[in-house]
Amino acid sequence: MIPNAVKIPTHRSLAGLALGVAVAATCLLSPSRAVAQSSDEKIVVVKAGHVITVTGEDIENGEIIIRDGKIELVGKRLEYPAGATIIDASNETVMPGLLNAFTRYGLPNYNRSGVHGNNKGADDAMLDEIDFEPLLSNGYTAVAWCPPGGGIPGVASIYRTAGPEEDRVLDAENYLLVWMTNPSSDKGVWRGAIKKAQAEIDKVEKARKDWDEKQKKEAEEAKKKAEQDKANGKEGEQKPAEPKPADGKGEAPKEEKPKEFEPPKIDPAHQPIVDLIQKKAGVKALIVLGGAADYLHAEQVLEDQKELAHNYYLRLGISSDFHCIAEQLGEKKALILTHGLIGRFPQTANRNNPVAQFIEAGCEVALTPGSDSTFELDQYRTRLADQVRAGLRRADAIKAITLNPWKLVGMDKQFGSIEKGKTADLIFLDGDVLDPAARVQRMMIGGEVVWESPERQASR
Amino acid sequence: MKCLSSLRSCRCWFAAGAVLAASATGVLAQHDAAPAVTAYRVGKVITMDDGDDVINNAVLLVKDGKVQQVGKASQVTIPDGAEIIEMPQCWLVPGFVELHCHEAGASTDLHDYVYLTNPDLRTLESVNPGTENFKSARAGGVTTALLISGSGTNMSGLGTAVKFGDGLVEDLVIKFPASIKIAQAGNPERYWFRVGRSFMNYNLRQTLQEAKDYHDAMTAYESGQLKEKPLFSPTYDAFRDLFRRKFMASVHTQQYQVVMMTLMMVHNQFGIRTVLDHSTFDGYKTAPLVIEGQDVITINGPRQLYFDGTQRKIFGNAARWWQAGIPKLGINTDSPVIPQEELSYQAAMACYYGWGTYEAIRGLTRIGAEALALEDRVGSLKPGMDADFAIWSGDPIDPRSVCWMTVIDGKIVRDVRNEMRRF
Amino acid sequence: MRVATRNWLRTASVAMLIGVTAMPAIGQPRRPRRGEQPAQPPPEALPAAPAEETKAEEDRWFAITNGVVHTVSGPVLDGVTILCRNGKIFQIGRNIEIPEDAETLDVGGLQVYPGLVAVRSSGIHSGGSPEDGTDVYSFNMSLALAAGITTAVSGDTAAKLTYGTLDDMIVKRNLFESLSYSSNDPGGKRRVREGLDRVRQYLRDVAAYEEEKRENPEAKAPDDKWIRGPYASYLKLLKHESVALVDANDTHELLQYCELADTYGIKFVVRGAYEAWTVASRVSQAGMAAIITPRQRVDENRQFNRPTGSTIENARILHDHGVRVAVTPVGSLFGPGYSISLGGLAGRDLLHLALEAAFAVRGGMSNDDAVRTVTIDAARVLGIDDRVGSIEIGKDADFVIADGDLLHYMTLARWTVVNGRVAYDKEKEGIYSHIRPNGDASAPPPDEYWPRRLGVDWHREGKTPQQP
Repeated sequence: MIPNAVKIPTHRSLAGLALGVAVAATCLLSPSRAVAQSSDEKIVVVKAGHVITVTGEDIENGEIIIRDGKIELVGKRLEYPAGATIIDASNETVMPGLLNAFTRYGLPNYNRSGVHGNNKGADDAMLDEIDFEPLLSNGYTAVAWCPPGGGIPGVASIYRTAGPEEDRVLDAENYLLVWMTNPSSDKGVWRGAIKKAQAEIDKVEKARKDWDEKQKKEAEEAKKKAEQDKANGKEGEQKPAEPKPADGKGEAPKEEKPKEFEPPKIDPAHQPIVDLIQKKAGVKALIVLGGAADYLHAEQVLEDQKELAHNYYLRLGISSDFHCIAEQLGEKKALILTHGLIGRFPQTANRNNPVAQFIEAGCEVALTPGSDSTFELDQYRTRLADQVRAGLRRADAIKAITLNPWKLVGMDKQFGSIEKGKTADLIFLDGDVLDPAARVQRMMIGGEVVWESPERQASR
Repeated sequence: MKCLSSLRSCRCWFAAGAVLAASATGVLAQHDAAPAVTAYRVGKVITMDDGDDVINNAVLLVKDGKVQQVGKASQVTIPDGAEIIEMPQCWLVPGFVELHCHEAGASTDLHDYVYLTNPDLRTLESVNPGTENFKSARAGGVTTALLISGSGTNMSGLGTAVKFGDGLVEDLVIKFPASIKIAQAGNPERYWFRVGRSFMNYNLRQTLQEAKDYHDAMTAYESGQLKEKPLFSPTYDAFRDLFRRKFMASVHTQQYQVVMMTLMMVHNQFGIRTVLDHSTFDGYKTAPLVIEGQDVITINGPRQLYFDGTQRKIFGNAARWWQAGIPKLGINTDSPVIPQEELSYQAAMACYYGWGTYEAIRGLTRIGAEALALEDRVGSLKPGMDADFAIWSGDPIDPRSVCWMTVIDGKIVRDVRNEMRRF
Repeated sequence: MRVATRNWLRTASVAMLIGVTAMPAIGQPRRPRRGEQPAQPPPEALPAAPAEETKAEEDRWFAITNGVVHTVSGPVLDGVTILCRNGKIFQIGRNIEIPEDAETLDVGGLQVYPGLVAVRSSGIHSGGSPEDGTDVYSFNMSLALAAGITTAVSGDTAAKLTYGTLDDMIVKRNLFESLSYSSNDPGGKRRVREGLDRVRQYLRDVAAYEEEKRENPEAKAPDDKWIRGPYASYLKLLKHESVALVDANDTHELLQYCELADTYGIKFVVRGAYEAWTVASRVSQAGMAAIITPRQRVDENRQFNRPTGSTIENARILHDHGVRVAVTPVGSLFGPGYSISLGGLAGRDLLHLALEAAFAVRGGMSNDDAVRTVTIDAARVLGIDDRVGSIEIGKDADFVIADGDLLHYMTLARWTVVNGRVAYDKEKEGIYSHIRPNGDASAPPPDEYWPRRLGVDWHREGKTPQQP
């Protein structure tokens, strides 16, 4: 049913045999950039016809050297140990795996309102039940499952779409989702949530203050008592010593009362907002906007919480008015999530390319498919090509589907480009990424090829 | 006349009614014994004649219900003994002609949906003088209207040209039949369990063809080409004047396709004088066809604006037709959709959205008369024409202007110079 | 006699305003203009502004120059500059020094009016609290701004049409208390009277208690726990903290509210009031304000032995009797007059609010008074005339800059300014930019052929159409 996790034959025996030769060769040539392999490491070399590194220049006929699932070196004519596993992709384009940064793919939806920060996007995910094939065949190595419902429904969960079971969860609790598509009700929810979170923080602070005071008081009392005892002489010393052996277990735990402050419990539904206010959250909130005015409403709510880290998800429709706020977002150099859609200016038949406009204004743009339908997933790269044809720069387009979604979820240090130190989650296409005819043929997760296209399997 | 006099005093309903009523009756009594000639000395006369003359400081003489003379005050000699009405600040404008009125009769039989085409129905039977609607029309300076039935069927009957004057039906009806009401698409689609456009066009064409066949057969018989007299048809006999082009078809149209079908079928195929009523939305795109059709008259309203969602623009329908170069454009209210007294406000809206004042006044007067083929009687002020006009405090299209007096066939039917007025 | 007094008052206020506006700006040497009367600046009328405050960096300046300014509450000032700071009118006059960072709009001789006030609206702001749901980029908002409207009432909140921003949107909340007193519901009428009686008794008790407290500190305050819901509303009305908005059309209904107003001293704003002309002095005596539609048409009812039905003169008659009149448009098949309709039946919705006021002129009201029915008088009816409705120093910088007389049927707004920001620009917005692009109503034809108006320009002079 699910043709993932295809076992690739690894020639361990061959690798072992070639080890000595490889070591000798590296010593002899002493190249400036080479990778040495120790016996317990696994080195994979991808020989690619074309490498889209995203952060650097594209490389023709280059190599990607992967050590233990991490990218070690990218370049041309690189040297590598003879024992390395070679993956021949000389007819393929290799690029980083994609993240679908906003999806409910394969999961049920609920009507829910109010604040539910303790919900996670993947709460309902049963990985075995989900058909990942449409995601895999379009190059998605990961998804950010957002929680269902309106208001503040919870936090997103980032999962890999393939690979070993134990590596599937990348981040169970990522961005906090906030809906602001119907401000007359959503504003109240968001405002109330921030207020409640602030109250929770105050509650904890007050408790700590009380505790500190109590500690101080106790310490003073103890000091007083000690002084008193001292003044009273040895009588006092003997007295506490006496009951100890007599009472035994009864008294002992009281004495070992924890000296650590135990903060009062914070409402788990508001915990992520508390973290955001206290800047403890690793990621930002993601605020969903339905139109340009929603942005102003969202900003108005955050007037007193200017430090609260947040990004915007602009739900572009065919004639959205988001162009009205492009400049404002550009001035802030905002990172926005949106759909790659060629639309029309409202009440007109004039086409506009909002993504190009946002980038022109100074925004960073991350893209996500228009919906979770298989059709939209399949159209994803075609739509991107449309936008490039309509004026979006190629480099910006590629960044918008690779690095920027990972940036949105705060994981761009590990994913989203092909450079040293990043996880080797790669996809192999049999053509250029913007060529609608090109297909994803193979997918590599953590240095292992975990998926092959049905036609490739058939041909083998 | 006695009954008229009492009717007239009835109209004076203001609080100080008693005094005014007495005076109004007095005016009427004076009017009854009026000298043969009445002279109106006004600030401006818009004659709407072929030379488009506008005469400042003018005098207009009325005799026997007809215009006797109109000209500059310095050039017109007022005969001795003439009654002189001095309104030196006011404009005298020909009475407006409403080409799409449902209110001059009992509006209950507007929509008699008998068949999908009803060539036998006539609005003549429902003319109902002396109603509040008559007063409304006079208040708006409207003197003539084409009373037509509703647009619920493809052909809903013969229209009647009525004056909003005082008197009996036979005094007021100036032309019957004055039109055949045809409705295309839109409203007649609601007939019965809905009908489609291809069937409606087929059915309408059949009806017109039958009428044409009858007319052709009769003509052939009359000219001796046909020996045997065709069977007399009470239904289609009235249609013979339609094919002789003595009256027109007023066609309810709305959009491009509908206007086009009207032109192709009614005008081109059957050679009927055609008036395009409403002609809203993107109907103006057919302007080249209208221009080609030579004698096609377009009247616009009550939809005066068209929001073009492809350009984020609001267009005035009248302005678009005019810019497209059609020579004959009028204005209608479709009363009671827009009250009859607001006919000139419809023109104000046409101007607000880009048309011109003078063209709009012409559309309210002469174009309407031409559409009814009554341009030798109403719609302009020349010697010999019916003395139908209104005296306004200023530009009649400006909603701020007051219609002080309305005169129909030389008779003052509205005079609110000393009364409180409803409109 | 009364009319004469009014005229005298107007002349006096005009004189005062000229005194203020013709004054030179602070710190600027006055350059006398040809034919200008040397004005004596009244000392207390100086637009006081400390110099350092004037130069504050964060101030947002906006200036309109070269306009014919219709202050509405005062005279028409030709060619003056209006300087606004932070969305408020700061100075009006000639030779005003405009700060360098000011956004300046040279209107090139066009007519500057205060922004229009729509006393009732739907489809512009969101319901509930407008600042929490309004789409400030909506097409409807642009359309309403194009109609010159800068303030509209949504529900019972007066809110600005702040295109593109949520700042300073709300003018006033809880404009009205609602009160239903209809003959259709005699029981309801009784309850209203009983409620009012009860609250009035409470107010008397409070007064007695205040009296008693002076001598007896132990005095017990009257119980006020029951003052909730309608009672709270009655309390506000009886204490004159608010006014009641009621729908009353025919004479009978109007007289009932008059009686209620007399008995309890409640202030009413009556909406509809098409028969108010028959009892205008009574309505005036009861201190009512009216929101009317001059064009509303109701035929007379011959069953009654008294004047009935509507008249175009309603607005004029009420105004002449001293009733404050605001105007709201007539509706059509496609919606009520207080909505915005693109259905096509033009001229019967908020897009043509000014032309509804033109119908008041048809009914005999002067042009200037008719302009007031959609500006300052509308603001007064709503109780927001301290903020909007006229061009005066200290008021909100809301303007409509029109290419002609506001009430003329070929006048379009060229710009609309809300809170000192250009919220609508005809050329930029494009909705009407193709209509009379140069702003001229029509090419002026030769005098003999087509003079626009005769002799005295009574529309502009603010005169009533003369009885011939």
